[in-house]
Amino acid sequence: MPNNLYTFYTTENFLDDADFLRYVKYNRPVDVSFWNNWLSSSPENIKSFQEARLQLQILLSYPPVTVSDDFKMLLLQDINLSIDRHQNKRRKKVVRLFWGSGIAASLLVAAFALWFYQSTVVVRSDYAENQLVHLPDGSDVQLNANSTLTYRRAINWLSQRAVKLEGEAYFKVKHINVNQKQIKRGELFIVITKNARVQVLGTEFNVKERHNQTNITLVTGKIQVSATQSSKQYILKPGTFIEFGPNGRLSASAQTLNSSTAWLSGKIVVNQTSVNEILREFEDLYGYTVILDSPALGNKKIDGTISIKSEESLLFTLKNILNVEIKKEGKTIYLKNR
Amino acid sequence: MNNELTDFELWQNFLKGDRLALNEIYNRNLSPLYHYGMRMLQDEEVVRDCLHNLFVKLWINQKNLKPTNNIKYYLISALRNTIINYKNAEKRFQKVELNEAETFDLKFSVESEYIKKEEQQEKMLKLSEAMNKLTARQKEVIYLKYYEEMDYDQIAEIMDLTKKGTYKLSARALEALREVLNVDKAILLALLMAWKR
Repeated sequence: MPNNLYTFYTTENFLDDADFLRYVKYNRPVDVSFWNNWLSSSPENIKSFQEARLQLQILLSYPPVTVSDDFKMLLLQDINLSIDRHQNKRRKKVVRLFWGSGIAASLLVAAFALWFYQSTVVVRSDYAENQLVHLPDGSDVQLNANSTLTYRRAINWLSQRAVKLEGEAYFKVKHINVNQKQIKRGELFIVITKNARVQVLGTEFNVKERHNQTNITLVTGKIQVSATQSSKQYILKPGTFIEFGPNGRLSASAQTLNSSTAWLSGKIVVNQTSVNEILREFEDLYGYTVILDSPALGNKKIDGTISIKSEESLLFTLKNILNVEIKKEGKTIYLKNR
Repeated sequence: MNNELTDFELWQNFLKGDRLALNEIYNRNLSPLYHYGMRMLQDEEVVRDCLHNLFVKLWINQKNLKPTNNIKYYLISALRNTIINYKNAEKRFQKVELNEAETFDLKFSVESEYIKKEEQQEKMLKLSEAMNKLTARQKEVIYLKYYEEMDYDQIAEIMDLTKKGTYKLSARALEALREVLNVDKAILLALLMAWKR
């Protein structure tokens, strides 16, 4: 111990000294003998030492408040109880959260599955707009203007691939039949229109459903067609078409392919076709009402190929062929003899 | 078993989630915490609530706590914050005006043990009276320094003072004490002589 250092201590130094504090506070024999020893050497600053000791005595004079054992024990019990309660609450919360999120997740999955299974996809092409639709099963459908194709979102998971058509569309159905002698239901592709039902395996064909008539033209392969009204079935050969009205079959013939599928390349092929028919096509595709000056004009028959890529080009052609004047008012077009 | 652990080891065990370690921490430190709390609040019920909250929060916030090798210091510091929060909450509730002074209950007295004669006792009473006029903060510094044996760094940290400020507070307190003591050297001497042990 640096005995001699203490000799230079002032009262403040003593008061700040931890060893001195312990000596005054606890009176431990080791400390007492040390300080007695130091005092016996009659240090010069004995007064500082004594003053510091007195001051500390007064500073430490506040009687200690004693904690009762009961207080200590009961408080500890309470603390442990509160901690237990807190932990239980948290555990319950975690468990609840776990189950809660599990249930929520399965509900979500179920809801999604239900929605996926139940919901339908509706693809609608506007006037003057063609649309190519890729079906989930790999088939492609080219929608003509002003047409609607509807199918179930889960088409791949259903027992049969079925689509509903209003308007006109060209189908390229993906062939998924493995064994030709054993055709499973799921391998069939079905197009349903107002008046007809087309059942195929994998072919290309055109279906046109307008004004209560359905015209089906087969391009390649083989298709089975039936009227909605009767159960009578027809087998179509490539290059032939069949037409259905509300009461069943209207006509069937070997039509030149071009006329049914010409729209794909933006044309219509007419062969002794009346102006009325052409104008109706125009109305269907572009959403106009065409009014003729004289009925005779509508009965005029035309041959040839007309571009329908744009309404302007079509109107321009009609104007020249029919020698008429064309007046457009909103969505109505007037054709007048010149 | 736990008695042999150092503060650091005990605290580490507690941080690992050992409830027995928490109980041991409680048993070892309750007494100084209780004293300190009582001096700050002078109401055992409130002190109890604060101590309760302190230990429950200590357990809940385990993960955010840092290692320490001086648990008592850590806990006193935490208790001080708990008490201040409590006081602030109470102020808000009761809308007590701020002029109600902060108190730190540290009363100095002169035990007859040291002073034999009546007249001396009288003078000493004056002295302790003067001591008792120290501000709450001065008393708190003295308490932490001499009762809890903390150094100025720790006191400054706990009381949110600069170290210099702590020195000042403490020095001013001691100055006040000395002034009173210097009034009567004779008494002082008598006291010194009377002091035994």
